[in-house]
Amino acid sequence: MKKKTFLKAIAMIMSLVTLASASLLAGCGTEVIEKVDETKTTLKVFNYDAGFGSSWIENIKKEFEEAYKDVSFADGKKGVQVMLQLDRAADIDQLLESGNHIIFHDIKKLLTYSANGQLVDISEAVTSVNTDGKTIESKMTEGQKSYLSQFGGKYYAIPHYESINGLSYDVELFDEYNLYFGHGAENSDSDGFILSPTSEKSCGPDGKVGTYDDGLPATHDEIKKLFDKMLNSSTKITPMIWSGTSREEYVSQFLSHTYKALAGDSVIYGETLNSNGKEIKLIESFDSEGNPVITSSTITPETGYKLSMDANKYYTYELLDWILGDGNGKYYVSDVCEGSYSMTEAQKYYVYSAPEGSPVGIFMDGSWWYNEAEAALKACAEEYPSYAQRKFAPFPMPRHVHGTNADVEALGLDTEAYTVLNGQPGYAIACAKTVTDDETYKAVIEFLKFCFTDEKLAQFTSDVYTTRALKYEMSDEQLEKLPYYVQALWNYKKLAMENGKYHSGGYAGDWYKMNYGEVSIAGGYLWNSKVGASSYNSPMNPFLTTITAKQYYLGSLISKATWEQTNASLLSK
Amino acid sequence: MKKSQVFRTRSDLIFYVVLMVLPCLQFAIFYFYVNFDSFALAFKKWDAIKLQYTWDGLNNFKNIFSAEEFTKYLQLAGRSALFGCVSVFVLTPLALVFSFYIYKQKRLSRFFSTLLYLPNIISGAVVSFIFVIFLDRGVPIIVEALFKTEIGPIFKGDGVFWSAFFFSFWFSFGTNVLMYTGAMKKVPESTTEAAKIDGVSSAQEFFMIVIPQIFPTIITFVVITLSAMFTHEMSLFSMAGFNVMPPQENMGYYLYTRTYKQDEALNPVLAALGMVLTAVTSVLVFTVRGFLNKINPMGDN
Repeated sequence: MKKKTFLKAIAMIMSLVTLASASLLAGCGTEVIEKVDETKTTLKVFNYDAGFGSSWIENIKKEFEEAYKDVSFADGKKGVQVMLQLDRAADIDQLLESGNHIIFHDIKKLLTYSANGQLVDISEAVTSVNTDGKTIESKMTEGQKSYLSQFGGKYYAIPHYESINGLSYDVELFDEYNLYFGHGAENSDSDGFILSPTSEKSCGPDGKVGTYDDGLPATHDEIKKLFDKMLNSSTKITPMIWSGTSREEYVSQFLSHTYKALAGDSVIYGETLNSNGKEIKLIESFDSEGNPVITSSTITPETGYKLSMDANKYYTYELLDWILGDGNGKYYVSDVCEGSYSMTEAQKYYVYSAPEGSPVGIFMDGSWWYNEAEAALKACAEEYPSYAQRKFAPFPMPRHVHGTNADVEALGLDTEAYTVLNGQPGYAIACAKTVTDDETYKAVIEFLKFCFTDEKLAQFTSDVYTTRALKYEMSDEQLEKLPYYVQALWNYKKLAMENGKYHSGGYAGDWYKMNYGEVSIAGGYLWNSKVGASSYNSPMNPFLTTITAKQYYLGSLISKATWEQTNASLLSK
Repeated sequence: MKKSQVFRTRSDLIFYVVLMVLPCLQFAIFYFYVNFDSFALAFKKWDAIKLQYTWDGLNNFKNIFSAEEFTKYLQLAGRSALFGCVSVFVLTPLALVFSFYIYKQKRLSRFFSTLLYLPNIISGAVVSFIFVIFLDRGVPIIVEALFKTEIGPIFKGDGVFWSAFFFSFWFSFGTNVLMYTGAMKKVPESTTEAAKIDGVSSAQEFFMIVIPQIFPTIITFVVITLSAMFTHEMSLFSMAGFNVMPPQENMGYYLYTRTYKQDEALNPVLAALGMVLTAVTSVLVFTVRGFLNKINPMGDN
């Protein structure tokens, strides 16, 4: 009997140990282990720990706790204890149930969570005047306000980080090898490139001399010339590089960036389904020689399917197909770009390429890359002291397809601002499941307001080397301390925001929701296509084979019948 | 057995109930509820305006069997079935032969046993990652050193599917060999001793004694292989993430990656596809199991 009881006890203990280890050890990530201080209000905050890291939130935690150490949110309690959970792979659906009060993360299903009551109404944090004398709302673009307040005018999320996806180029490399276009014949060689570093550079994509983009390709034709010039330089320069493992994701963002530069303000038609009488150029077919047949049309809800035939889409595909060249590896580092190189490995390759004598000109990645590559940049600087102060900068995409910079300049200035697309917007949200009492709600509101003052937004940029998805100011002193790339990124993005050229996140409106962005730049389906029996989410891998831009483009067209079937409920209104 | 013989005391019964409550609850939630929810989802569609699922009848099934989509699903299923058939008709016989070799403790059998099981000790995701790195970076270096020929990364284009195919074959081989070896060890020694005395050869022992004795194990493995045929993604995602082109996708990879993307509009279609595949797999598994039981040399299992 005693032995039996003993065996039962052993069995119970082993079961409990197994259960405990399974539940406690499950899940990845780092939880900052702190003992809960019952004398303070507890605030649990989750931060997505990839790309931009967590040093910024760790600093905010300390500063907030210090700033609010004498503030009482509930009787018998004074101060706030912020408990952080940092993770790279957490699922939002799980996070909303995990006990966190606030989450900083990519939130793809923001609309669904808002509609289902899973998020807290944080309008108070967004619309009340903060310690910097501004509201968070005033720092948003009109597009952001419209998208985020579409549920009865209430805010359920605040724009957090941004990733300006596109290209970055090595400024010193371009300077060294005169990879800029010259202004006029007197400043240019036979190929149109500057004769010397002191030659006047061409107008660049914005069509105006004397601005940030001087000398950079003003058309897709000039990009092709630039790439060929790189290959034929005295030291062969491989034009581009990107991460092989992330190629599908990054190229989709690059395409959106390129497309928006061409399409300009007309991209808004993808959401409004109304061009207000303005016509856009369409390509519905190709002639016997394979040349696009260009027509034009206005956009209304009934003709919304024609947005899939936007000529700018075709030219975007055509440029990418040219770069990829059926996978010949001519204009890119094929081992890295087609293979198993991760994003950090690609970053390291790019950083070391110039010092090691195999330079690569342009890098495709999100704007977080500079922060992620910090270790590689430091190591490279130690190994090659002459490369201690690197100069990288965003590479603005051309707004025109054909012609030269002279042709673009002759069109007159459009705007200095470049189209900037926040390809992967992050948000700050509060979880309705855990923010259920007044004490926690007040603490959440104060914490969110604290995180989004101009001072804290600027501090993030200084610490993390990237910009935030809001309008804010940085002092000249703060800007001077930033690396060249971050200064360039700051100016690039600021100009876009001030001129209404900044686009972030999704759109409000039933048309966008119904079509999941198949005709909208903010959607996840704009680059879908069907070639033969195969459906593709991105042209990156198809263009590495013999599938052409024309085939891919034609496979992406939406027919009138499909449009009417999909949008029947909206068209009948 | 009478109840009183199983639970001699009340405390026995309480102990049993306490132990079984959690597993039963887990089974009820993570098997019954999840599958029931998935079945229900197959008859719904996502309303993008109301942001909720609404009843849609059989439209998802009609979509699956439409001319355009059916071809795609057939191709996906075909690639999965290819691996399933190779597993049953090639991998199983090979594993049986290797297992017999190890069971008979022939030369270097312990070495082979360790080598075949080694990939299973390390996480599958890690092994597949190492395999891809080797293909992409190691093999080109070796080829250049041996043959003075430059080749690019192997793990691209058509190479993706066949590399994953080979990897899954190799990875499964070790597990199969070990399981069959374990089953062979349960063959009564007296039987094999008697066979030896009667002058039976190794081949005769293999086909006429060992295989019949372990036939129930073979049936089990074949049934498991077939039932997982359409969910087995051949480590494609571990190796290539989302970079696998549609002509190289199999059904398991397709289901996994499309579910991973959490597309509310697609989820009902995937749920319906899952139901169709369940129906097909059930028929196949029961048919094959019935056939194997019929030809079981030891009688129906």
